[in-house]
Formats: sequence, C-alpha cells, structure tokens
Amino acid sequence: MTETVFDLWATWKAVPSPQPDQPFFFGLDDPAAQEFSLFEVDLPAGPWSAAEQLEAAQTALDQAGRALGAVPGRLDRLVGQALAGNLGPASFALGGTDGLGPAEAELLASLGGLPGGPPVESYGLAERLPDWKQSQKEFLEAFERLQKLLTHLAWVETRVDGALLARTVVDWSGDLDTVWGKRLDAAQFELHRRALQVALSSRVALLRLLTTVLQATAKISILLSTPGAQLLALPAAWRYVNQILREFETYRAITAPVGG
Amino acid sequence: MNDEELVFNGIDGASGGYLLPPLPPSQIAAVARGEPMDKKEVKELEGWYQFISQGHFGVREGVDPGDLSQAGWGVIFPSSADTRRLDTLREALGELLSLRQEQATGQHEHYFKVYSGPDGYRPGDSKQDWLTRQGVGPGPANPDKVPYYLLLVGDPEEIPYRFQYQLDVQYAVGRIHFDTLEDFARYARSVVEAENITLPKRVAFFGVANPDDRATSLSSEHLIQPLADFLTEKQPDWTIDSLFQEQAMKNNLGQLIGGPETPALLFTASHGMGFPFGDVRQLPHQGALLCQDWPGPQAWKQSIPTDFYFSGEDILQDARLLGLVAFHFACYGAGTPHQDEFARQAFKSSRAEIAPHAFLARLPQRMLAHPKGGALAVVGHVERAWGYSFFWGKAGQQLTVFEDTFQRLMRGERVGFATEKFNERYAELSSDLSSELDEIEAGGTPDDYQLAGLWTANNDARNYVVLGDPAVKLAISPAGESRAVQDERPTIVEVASPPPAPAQPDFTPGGAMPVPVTDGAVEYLSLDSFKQIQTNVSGSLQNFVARLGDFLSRALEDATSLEVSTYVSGNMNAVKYEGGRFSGGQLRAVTYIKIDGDTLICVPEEDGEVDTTLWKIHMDMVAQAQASRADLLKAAVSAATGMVNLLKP
Repeated sequence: MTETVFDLWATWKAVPSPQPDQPFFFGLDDPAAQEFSLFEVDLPAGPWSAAEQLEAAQTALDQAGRALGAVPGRLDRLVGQALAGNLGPASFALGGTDGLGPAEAELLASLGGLPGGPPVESYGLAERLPDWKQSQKEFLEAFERLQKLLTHLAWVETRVDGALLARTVVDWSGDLDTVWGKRLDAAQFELHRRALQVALSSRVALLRLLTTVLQATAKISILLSTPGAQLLALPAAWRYVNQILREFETYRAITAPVGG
Repeated sequence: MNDEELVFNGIDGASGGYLLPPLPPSQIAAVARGEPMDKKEVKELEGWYQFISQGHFGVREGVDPGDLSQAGWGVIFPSSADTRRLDTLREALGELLSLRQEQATGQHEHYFKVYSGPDGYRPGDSKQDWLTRQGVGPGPANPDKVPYYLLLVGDPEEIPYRFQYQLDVQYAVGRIHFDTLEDFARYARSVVEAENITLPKRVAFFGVANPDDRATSLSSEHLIQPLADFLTEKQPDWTIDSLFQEQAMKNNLGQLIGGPETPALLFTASHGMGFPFGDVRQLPHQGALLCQDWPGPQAWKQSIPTDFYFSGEDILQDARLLGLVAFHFACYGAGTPHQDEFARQAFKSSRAEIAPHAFLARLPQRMLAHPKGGALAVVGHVERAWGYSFFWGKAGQQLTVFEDTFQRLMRGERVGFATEKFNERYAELSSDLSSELDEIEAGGTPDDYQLAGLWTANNDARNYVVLGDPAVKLAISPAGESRAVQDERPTIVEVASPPPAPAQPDFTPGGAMPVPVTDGAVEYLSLDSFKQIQTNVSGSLQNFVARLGDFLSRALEDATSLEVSTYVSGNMNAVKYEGGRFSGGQLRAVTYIKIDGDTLICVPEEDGEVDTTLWKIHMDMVAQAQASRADLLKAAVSAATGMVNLLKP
C-alpha cells in the first residue's frame, strides 16, 4: 500500500505552492523537544484562491467525517453476512452484487491470517493475505505519531506566500494564545481564523478516526474465535478504515502527503 | 562463596542489572517453608529416588537404553492439533519418524508410537494423567507400554514445561517446536543425516567470567574449568578446547556455533539474557548468551547492547552446525515460562507474568533448524539457572551430575539417557527437601542455609530440558570403532519447498498461520509471531492510554477555566512561546472565563478607543476556543474509552 493513513503522520509538510488538485496543506512536523504538533499552512497570495483552499479543506474534512460515519454500518453488514455464512469468493469481486467492496474483501483476508479468524482459502482470499509484520510495523509507527499529535500542544501557523500572518498555540485545556502580525486587514484575520478552525477540526477528526478504528476492532473481533485476538485485529481495522477513507477520497484533506 | 547471600545468573537486558538481586538464605528459606509441595508428586519422586539410588536406570531392568529396538521411541503431539495440522507436521517430520520407526521396531512393532488426538497431550494433563491413559503407573519406563524415548512436538503453551519436567523423571524426553514447517523438516533431515557422519572427537568449553560478577566467577571457577580439567583427564582421546574469560568473547562463540571451530560437543556457562514483559527483544533474544564483552555490573549500568550477547540472529546463514550437541548453562537458555516460577514464591503473593506466553529460546531453535543442517540437541535451562547446580553450600563444588552427563555423551550415549543424571538429582533433592520440611514441621530447628540451598537446587535441577530428539547421540565413532572423520562439516540437502499446505489452513490456537510471501505462495507463520504482534499492539495501546489519560487529566484539571489571549507583533520572527505565553509580542486582549460563568475581559484600545477590529477577531478566537475544547475533550474521552475497552481481557 503506497498511500495510506499511515503516511499522514510521516509526511505532512508545508508546501509553498500547492498544486490545483491539492488545495490545502497542513504541515505537521514534530519538534519533539518542544512537545508541539505543528500545523502549518502556506496559502497562495490571491485572497480568493486562499479562501477557496480553506473552503475545500473544510469540505474534505466534512466528507471524511461522513466516511467514518459509514464504517459501523458497513461493518455490521459484513459481520452479519459472515456469521450467516453468506460470503463466498464471488462476494469480493469489485462491484459484486452483494455490495461488499474491496475494503471488506481485504479486511476479511486480513482476519484469515489471525488465530481463530475465518478461513480465507475457502473464500479464495489467500493471495490477499497481508504481510503481518509489515502491517504491524506501519500501524505501530502511525500509532506513535498519532499519540504525539494528540497529546502535544497544537501550534498553528498561517502563512501567505511564505510570510507568517499569525500563530496560535492551543494547550491541553483549550487555552488559546494568538499572536498576529501588525497591519493585517480583515481578510487576513479571516484566513488565520479559518485555518485555525480547520487545524483544530482535523485534530478532532483524527481522534474520531481513532475511535472509529477501535469500534471497528470490537465489531471485527466478533468474527474471531480466539480470546485476545482482537488486539491482533487492530492493525487490520486500521487498514480497513483507511481504505474506506480512501474510497471517499477525502482523507487527503487531513493527510495531504508531500508532493501529492 | 559468600555465606550471607546467594547469587543468581541472568541479566536484565533492558536495565543492565541483575534479573534477581543477591538474596540472604533466610529469605529463601522462608519461602521454602511456606511453599506447599505437591504430596503426590513428592511421594513419587521419593520412590523414584529409592529406585535409582539402588543403581537402576530410568528404563526397565534388562533394557539397553542405547538400543531403540529395546527402549522404544515415541512422539507426542498436542491433542489440540487437528487432522490437517497433524498431517502437515507428520509430513514435515517424515524423515525422522521413518528413521526412528525403523530403529525402534526391530523387535516389536509397538515400540514405535505416535501419540496424537485423544492419545496426545490434553490440556491440563499431568504426567500421570497422560500415563494412566496409556495404561502405565509409576515406576521405570516399560517400552512394552510406553517407549522410553519420547519427543514432544509443540510449544510450551500447547504442552507445558511442567509436563515435560515430570515425564522426564522416568522417561528420556525432548521437545521440538519451530516457527515453520520447513524448520521441522530441516531438523528432521539433520537428525537423519547426522546418523551417517563422523565428527572429530572435540569438545569446546566456553566460560564467561565478567568483571565484578559473582555468578559467572562461580560458574567459571567451580563449574566449567574443573569440568574441562576432569574430562581432559578422563577422556584422553578427545580434543578439549577451552575458551575462558577474555577468550570468551562473542566473536569467538560465533566460531563455535556454526563457525569453523564448531565442535561435536559444546558447553557454555554464562549469564542468559532476560527482558521485561512486553519488551520487543524478549521473544527473539531472551536466553541469548551474555559474553565476556559485557564489562560487568560496575562498569556497565545501562541497557545491554546486542554486541555483548549471542542470540539466534547471530548464527550466520552459511553456518555449519550439523551434528552438534550443545549444553548452555544460562538463565532462560532453553526457554521461558509464562509466569515467574521463583519471584512469585519469593516476593509476591500471586504469580507474576514474565512473558506474554511460555516460549522456547530462539537461539537453540535456530541452532536446531538451520537451513544448512542443524544441531542435534541443545540442553538448557527453563527459567533462571542457579549456582546450586554445581556449588552445594558448605560442601563446595558438586560436579558429579555434570561429569557423569558429559562422560555419557562423550561415550556416545543418547542425549535423553545421558542427561538422566539431572532428573535423578531432581528426585533426590525433592526427597531431601520433603524430609527437611517434615522435620521442621515436627519442631526441628531449621538451618536456613541448608533449606534455601535445597529449595533452590530442587527448582534448579527440575528445569533442565532437552530441546531436540532425546534419542540423538554425538556423531562420533562408537567406542571400539575408528571411523574416518569428515574433513569438512557436511551440510544437508536444503529443504527447498515447504510441505504442501493443507487444503484449508488450521486456525486453532497453536496452529500455523498463513501469511503471504512475495511470490504469492502461502507461508506459515507461527503462533509465537502472532503473539509477539499481539504483545506489541497491546503495549502500544497501553502506552497510548497512559498518554491520553495524562492529557485528559491535565485538561480536566484546567477545565474550570478557559483563557484566550491575543497579541500583536511587528516582528513575528522574534516572537517566542515561553512558559505558556508569547514573548516578544504585545498583549492586546485577554478573556478569562470561569466555569461558573464569571468572565474577565481586557479590551484592546487604540488611542483611547476600543480597537473594534482586533476586538472582533479576539472574540472569534474565544468562540473557537470554547467550541474546540468541547469537541476535543469529547473525542478524547471516546477514544480513551474505546482503548480501555479493547484492553479489557
């Protein structure tokens, strides 16, 4: 998998001149020594295009929220069908008549590699089994970065064409300190206000992503007969939710990998 | 030896300190007095000790333990292995099973046995439970009923160590378990191939004595050096290589384990590496051999790097190990139990988990299943090893068990029979310990030193195990024969392809799990690997819960108020954030809202007038801070709840 939610915490970086298909970029760096999570956005100079990018970012976040909201229903359906024994090899063809998509197929294949998981070969899924060690490694790395992101101070900077407009630090309790450059006009104030809104919303969205993954893990574990195997299902659930976000093509809004 | 304190082998790789600190005898004696002994077990061990002390061996009178057609050979699978898994395991071990069947059935067909399904090891079986199902009571092994040599196939979660310890008292027992079917096949082929090779009669002793370290000083001075001296005198036709102290470096051990200096028989005495529960190094490196490279506890007070110890990962791909028999005196050298078998008795009221599950040490596993041909057997210790193996209190060094074992091995006796002396010692010590405790119970005056010694020695003697087929023997010329020895250590024909995968994978606990390999074929990954993943994920989750909990705790502590500050600066690059405030900027507006609704506002002014533009943006920030805090706390609580739920057993 070349582009995943895992990339999110590894590659966020400010991009000075965003491409048209990447309207908004939050740079996330990890200056660990200061315990800050840096959200940095560099907008184009044109006020309209800058505002459009912020609007697009917010829209993408909203879409991501809807994608996450779809996860429980899709999983309920998958689990119900699996328990009823209504899954077969044909179920996993793209556009299959039963409506289960490739994310579900990959998930089921992943579970087949777990103790007490469903028998993947009877579903014709053995060739889709993931590399578990790699999958675990990716998950743990992402998890580690997510911890830092969520438990460090949020440091949000808005730049326009490289020039720093404003900087806001938000601590754990929600206290918020902002420093503005002098001689800013109302439009520039508005850019940072909206950028801050998107940054803080994306932080909440990442927590919701985590919650969704945890809930998905609990649902998925119904398919596993081995006690304790639900922890093993966590990386699989992570991949599954990631894939659904990709399907919605919205996760870029909160991930925005460098260079697209 | 210091009479005041007892020292133990084993180094914590994470901290660099000892796994157990030196302890006064009184503390151990108190544990011994308080520990209930299994009456049935003790009674049987006492009977067994009387039997062996009259000069009998583990097998029935008149049976030659060196002849499998008289002693018999059997293999025990866990009953949990279903037909598919059993078939693949039997196929992987096919070459070994055929060899042993041929050797054991020379006189009686039933002297070769495969115990599986209901006849296999059932969860919860004691030794006697299992023997009773085979129609056998206590007493010497009777191959008419159950063969003397018994190979357990399964990890210690499927077939517990305790079953192995107890069965080993009467029988010659070994165990194998590997990650892949290929490894099973490699080991089987190695044993078969080694039957047809002849190695030079060379034994190597590798004795570490780290500076300022009493445990390895003891093992060096009172175990390995005198043992090497004894065998030099008693086995004149053997070449004896001794690498002690400054020669006992890691790179030299690599020469002895797969390198050009690999002997027929290897004995190492060192600390074994231990790691805390959940440490990613625990499964791959626990039981690895700490070499002379470690400068000792005074000079090194930090995590132990891999440069200091020899683990399975240090065995080279082109290593030559075929025919080797190794004996590692080291903590965890053979394996690790799930729960602490000593500290729970000595220090804790309940059994502490020291590992996510019981497992075999990786070093011997790698030695036995090397692709170029593996070692025949590795004898080692489960749990911690103790000085009482060779140093018996005021009586000083006690090497008889080691001397007899090595002499038997060097005579070409089978490993399971050669190591019977350790089981005899276990029976003897259990009997002595029981008597001592009975005497104390009857009002006798306890001798703490004697009692502590008996107790630790009893535990210690019990935990030596054979990894590998107990019927293997050194690949040397039998006594009275002079075969041509190989100039170069042979290798096996590589196990090129795995045995065919079952039609449907086995997903039972302990079964092999399929994972993909690059060419799209299905590879089988062991339960150990999955358990390692499970441990890593659990550890990461627990860490996250702790951090998120800390975050929430701090957030809630401060949640009684909300403070929003607005600054301006003519030089943004000079602004710094220090102590929760911006410096280098001018504070223009502050809003402080208390939980009871009280609000304090400092309004920005410009030339005596309220700066309405700044005031508006400041109030927007206030609104955003309020909304953001509510959303973030709600989302964080949900995530924390989800994680805690997932961690619930």
